[in-house]
Amino acid sequence: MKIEDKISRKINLDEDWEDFIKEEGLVDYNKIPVERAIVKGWVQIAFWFLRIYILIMVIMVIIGFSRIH
Amino acid sequence: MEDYKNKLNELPVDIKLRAVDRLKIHLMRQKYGYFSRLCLLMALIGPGILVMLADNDAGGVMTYAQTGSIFGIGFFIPFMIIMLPVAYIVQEMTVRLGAVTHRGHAEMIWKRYGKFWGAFSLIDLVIANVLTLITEFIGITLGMEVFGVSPVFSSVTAIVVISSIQLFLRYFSWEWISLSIAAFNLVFIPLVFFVPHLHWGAVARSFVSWHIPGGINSLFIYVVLANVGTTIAPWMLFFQQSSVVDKGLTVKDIRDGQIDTFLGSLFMVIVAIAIILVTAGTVFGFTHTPNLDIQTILSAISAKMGPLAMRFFALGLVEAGLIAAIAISASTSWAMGEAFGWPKSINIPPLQGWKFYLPGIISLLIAGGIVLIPNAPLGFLNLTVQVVATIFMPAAMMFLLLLLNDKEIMGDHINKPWQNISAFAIVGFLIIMNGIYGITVVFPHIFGK
Repeated sequence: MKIEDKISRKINLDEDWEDFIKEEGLVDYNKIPVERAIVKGWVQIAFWFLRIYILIMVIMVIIGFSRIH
Repeated sequence: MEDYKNKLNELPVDIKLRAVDRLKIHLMRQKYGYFSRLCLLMALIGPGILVMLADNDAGGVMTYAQTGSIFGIGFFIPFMIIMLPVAYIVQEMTVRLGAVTHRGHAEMIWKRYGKFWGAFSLIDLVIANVLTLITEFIGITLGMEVFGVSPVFSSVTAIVVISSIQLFLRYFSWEWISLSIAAFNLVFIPLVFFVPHLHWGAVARSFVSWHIPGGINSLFIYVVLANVGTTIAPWMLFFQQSSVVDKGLTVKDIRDGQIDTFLGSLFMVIVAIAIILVTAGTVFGFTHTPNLDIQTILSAISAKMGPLAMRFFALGLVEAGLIAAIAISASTSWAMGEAFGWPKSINIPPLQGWKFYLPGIISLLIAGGIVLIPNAPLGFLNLTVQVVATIFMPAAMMFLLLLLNDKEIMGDHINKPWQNISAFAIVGFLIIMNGIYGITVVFPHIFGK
């Protein structure tokens, strides 16, 4: 017996199918756009910190690798 | 009933299979009692345990083995206990983010913060994943050599097995097969009880003294970073969130996802401590080089605990490489699918989802091919991968924290103050350790030789 048949014998979702789908997130999320975040305040500071951190770390890694024999 | 079945058939194949799984969960949730609750938990656990046991990968096993061999138990047993909440706090955030948004980490960064940061994170992840996969294949081939299997055969078999379970199984079966393989990670635990002259009193005292043999030097910082790098790695964030999404967890499942993550963290730390104890009891004092290779460690285990113990250790190494390769290749596929908007689910049949499966399989082929190049510097490569991962970890963590504090997408599931304080403390620790490591690279003798 297919698993769908087993489940459908125990439950009737015909009436509240739409609710079930919505509640369980059973939709194609590729088709739902995500709004771009507004980068301001402390988030903007965090991004600048990240840029500086990456730059310093890349320099450190280059120095580190150049010293490996 | 027919109407409902027709509606199910109208869904795309990956969502249909997920809907079937979620219907089972829906049914379980309607039952009361401790047994039903346990069944529900058993059905919902998976991503957390899988990510944590996969984190004890071949590179991780070698890092822990090198740690025990070089530093013994003095510092790193208590250190690993501290790593339990660290791993839990970081990974728990991915559960909430995945359950609330139903989107993977790569997709959230790409769409919320733009293509530049999306591409930056994706490129980092893919490079780190390929490098890490190389260490997994090194672990698999070296471990299998103990059983007389040639590296070519082990490497090809591993690629075929991992690709097959990803291509031909649906998510539910893939997860259970992966968890079954991951269970072999626990093989290291019984070995502890056969370590000669292991004094549990000394283990207990290590928590009081927290002694660092040889003091703080660049090697110590290197090994601390490597241990942190193997405990929390960028691929883990991407993997668990995508896994939570593909499994179909929702906000109602967050508590079970948290239990799953805690259990995984616990297993991970117990296994890590077991490896450190085994190697501290057999190899400690043997050498003080970070380039300690796994053959030396296996030989020492064989000499002090017998060939059977050595074979168990080798089996654990093979398993660690295999489970991590399964998880890492899946995380590459998921991340690429999320970033480029492809269908992205292990539920998708191979022909329909070839674009999704291809990046993971290509990464396996690259790593499986490179490992067959003779004389690969295993110990050095392994520690370097962990250090590189640790350096990029704060960037990945920053995006995680930004998203978890984004009221617009997280709603009521936004980070609580204690979660932010803990997470920022972890990021701060990573940055300080990276900074100290960077200074030791430029001034190697600042902490002594």
